Amino acid sequence: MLRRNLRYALLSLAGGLAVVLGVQAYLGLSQDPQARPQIPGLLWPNPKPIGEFSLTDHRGEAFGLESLKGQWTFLFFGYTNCPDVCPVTLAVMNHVANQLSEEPAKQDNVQFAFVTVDPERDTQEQLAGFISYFNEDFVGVGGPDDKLVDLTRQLGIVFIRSKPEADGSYLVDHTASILLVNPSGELIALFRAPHDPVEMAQRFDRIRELVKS
Amino acid sequence: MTRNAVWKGQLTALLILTLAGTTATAVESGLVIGEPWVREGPPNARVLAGYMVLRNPTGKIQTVVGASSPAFNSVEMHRTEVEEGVARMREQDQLQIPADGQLALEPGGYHLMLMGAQQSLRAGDTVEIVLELGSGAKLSFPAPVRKGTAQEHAHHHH
Ligand SMILES: [Cu+2]
Repeated sequence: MLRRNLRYALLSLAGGLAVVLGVQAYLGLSQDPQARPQIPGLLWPNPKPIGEFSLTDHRGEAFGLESLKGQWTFLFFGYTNCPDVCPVTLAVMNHVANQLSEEPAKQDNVQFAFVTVDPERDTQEQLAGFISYFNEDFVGVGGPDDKLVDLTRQLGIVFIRSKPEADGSYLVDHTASILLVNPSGELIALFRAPHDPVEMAQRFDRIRELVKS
Repeated sequence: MTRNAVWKGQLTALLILTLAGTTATAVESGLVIGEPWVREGPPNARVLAGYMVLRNPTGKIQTVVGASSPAFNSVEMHRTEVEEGVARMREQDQLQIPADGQLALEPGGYHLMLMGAQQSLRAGDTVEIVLELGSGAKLSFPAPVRKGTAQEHAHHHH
């Protein structure tokens, strides 16, 4: 019955793994406690610059590298037919947003984006309904596979679609981490699952303080 | 059913006895259902997740071999696992509940995958869920729909 073990779409996997391994190698090499702040998942002082990409948000506006610049971005990749991990993660992101909004100065300059790795089923309309349920200010982002891979490959995001069942439904394995992009458009931190929103908000504060200094 | 019920499992067992005369009782089936709930999804959600605690008060292992619901086209038993930073959902042929033990279906772990809702469900609605046990017995019980929170998985452990 476990037909889903058979996978057929390995889009971005090779590139994604290469980046993940690269990041892990980097983190492994940077264990000198004097030299590095002890913030889990932080890539500072060598954040990874993100190159151009061209996607569309749930309102139909272009979403690319420029959309990341000038503000901090929490970025998560998933799909709307995901009933467990994705709603939990979006609830976490909403909780982080609420934590930040308790101090308006902190909420400033922060956006939350959900990028679908299932563009065929996640139309703009589907994305809009999904994302606004969790938070009206969140951004849903999508685009065809070739455009999507332009971003996922750079960030080490993995997604694997299962072989469709008789009724056409399929599952998508995907990276569970939430990514943090700095206002220069560089990947600066990874928040690994499972996520604790209170801890995430605190870690975000520390990262911002550190980068400022 | 409120979240503050002192012993939700027993409350649920009572509901089974009173609401589902034709199905096995908790005692007969050897399984007690605790704290069942369905996560409310966005209005356009095609798939929802159901959670509960399966308690086995008997001295021998119990299995759940299937699930269904009149409120959905189909129901599968799934487990979410995060391996190497990648979240995977895998269909489970059966769930095993150890003797005198329990199995939690909870966010980020085991869950029922509820596909194709007959109608849009909102927090406050209740759906019926049927579990088919390895013994052949069927357990039917109501599960309230409610909003998920960000914290409920935080105590999840492997
Ligand atoms: Cu599932």
